[in-house]
This record gives sequence, structure tokens and C-alpha cells, in this order.
Amino acid sequence: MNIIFSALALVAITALIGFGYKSGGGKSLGLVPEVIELEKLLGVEASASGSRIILFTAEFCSKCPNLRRNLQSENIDFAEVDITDRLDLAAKLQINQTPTILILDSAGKIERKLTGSIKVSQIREFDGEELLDAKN
Amino acid sequence: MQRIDPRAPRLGAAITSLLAMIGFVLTQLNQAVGLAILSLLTALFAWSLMSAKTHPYALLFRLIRPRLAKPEFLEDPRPPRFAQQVGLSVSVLGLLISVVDPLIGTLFGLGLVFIASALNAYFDFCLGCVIYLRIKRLQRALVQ
Repeated sequence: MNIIFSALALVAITALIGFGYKSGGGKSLGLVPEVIELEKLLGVEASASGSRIILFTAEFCSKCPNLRRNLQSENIDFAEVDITDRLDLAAKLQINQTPTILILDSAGKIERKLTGSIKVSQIREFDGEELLDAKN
Repeated sequence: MQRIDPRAPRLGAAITSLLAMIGFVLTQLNQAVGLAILSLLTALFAWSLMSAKTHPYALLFRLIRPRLAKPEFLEDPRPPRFAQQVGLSVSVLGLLISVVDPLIGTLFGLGLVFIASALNAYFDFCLGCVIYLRIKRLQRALVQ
């Protein structure tokens, strides 16, 4: 009886984490209350593109390439930052997992922070078309 | 860097989760069998890190692949490799604990290996996405 119970408990814990992970995807997290100085933090490339969507990826992130492909296929302009070796940036922006997306307003202040299984539709929801296709 | 079919590591994770669950149940009937399965899983994790191409899971996937449709895209091998490193660390920790208490150590190792591999196989959970930065930030905080 104990054997069955412990095995079921293990399955239940796994299912709980798994469903929590699935349903929590793309959630909006606490914002960092400061203006992001793109040029200083991310380098010239990000600010040169004029992008207000920043995608943070890391070396061991298997979800990141898929999100990058989806953003590109939807013609959404974004700047990508690999924070594998930028732990200072991860600490400063309170980024604990990847992919994480920051949506900035025109002043560079963070409007939204999304993380986990982010869907492109969630990015579109936040600020309408003006945020998107910044290059066009 | 050679990219891989993303279904290959998920097949491996599914087999690992099955082995871990069998081991978890059998440990409570016969500790030696459970310990043997944990040792086997430890060896399989180490094997995949040393020579992924010759790994039994890779050979099995090569047999199955011709029957599957072409993958939509190929994947960077580093995230699944990181998951293997986590699996190896957890199983080695379980083996070390089992030196002091075989029952607890084996159940601990197999239980955690089951949770991680089942999440990967059935929920497409990305271990590298969720824990890598946390580990690195913790390491950084401890050093400072």
C-alpha cells in the first residue's frame, strides 16, 4: 500500500509542477522600477534597431530558438540578448529564467516582463500595433 | 555544432522516467535492485555526456526515426546536454546518500530523476530555462 501511495505521490508532484509550468507560461511578473538604458546595458545593436522588445536568451534554453522563430515569422522587431555570461544584467533586471521578454515604453521604462512559454499573441496584447514592426 | 532532432532527447527522457519509476517502486521491495537501477541511470547519464552518439537511447532513436515525419526544426544540443548534467548530479548525489542510508539515498535519487525526466518527456519542461540562471546567480552570490 505504501509503495503504491509513494509512487502515486511522485506522479502527482510531477503533474502538479508540469501543469503549473504549462499554465504559468508567459505570465507577467513584477516590474523593475527603473528606466533601462539600452545602450549602456545591451550595447549599440539593441538601441540601433530602435526595438522596444528585448528577448533574453541563454545557452541552455531550448524554448528560446522557437520563440525567436515565432517573433521573426510575425515580423516583430526585437533585440536579443544572451545573458549566459551577463549575470550582472540578470541580477539587475531580476531575470531568473529564459526566455524572458521585456517590453519597454518609449522612454525605456519596462512596461511588461514576460517569462516561460511566451506566446506571440501575449506580446501583441500588451501595447497594440504601435509597439510592433518598429522598423516599418 | 551539429543540431539534433528534438524528439530524440524526449524519447530518452521518457525511457529514463520509466526506469526511474520502476526503480522507485522496486527499491521498496528490494533495495539492492533499486540501487542497481540508480547506478544504471547514473552510468547512462555519464555515457550521454561522454559519447552521445553511441548512447543506447540514440541508437534506439535511429531505429525509430525513419518511421517518423521530418522534424519541424532541429535543436541546439546544449539544453538537453545540460539536462543530462543535472540528471547525473542528482543520481550521483543519491548514490552518495545511499552510502549512509541506502533506502533514503536510492529513493531520493530515483525520485528526483523521475520528476525531472517525466517533466521533460511529458510536459516539454525546459530544465535549462528554469534552473540554469538560478544556479549561476546562486553561485555568484555565494562567491561574493
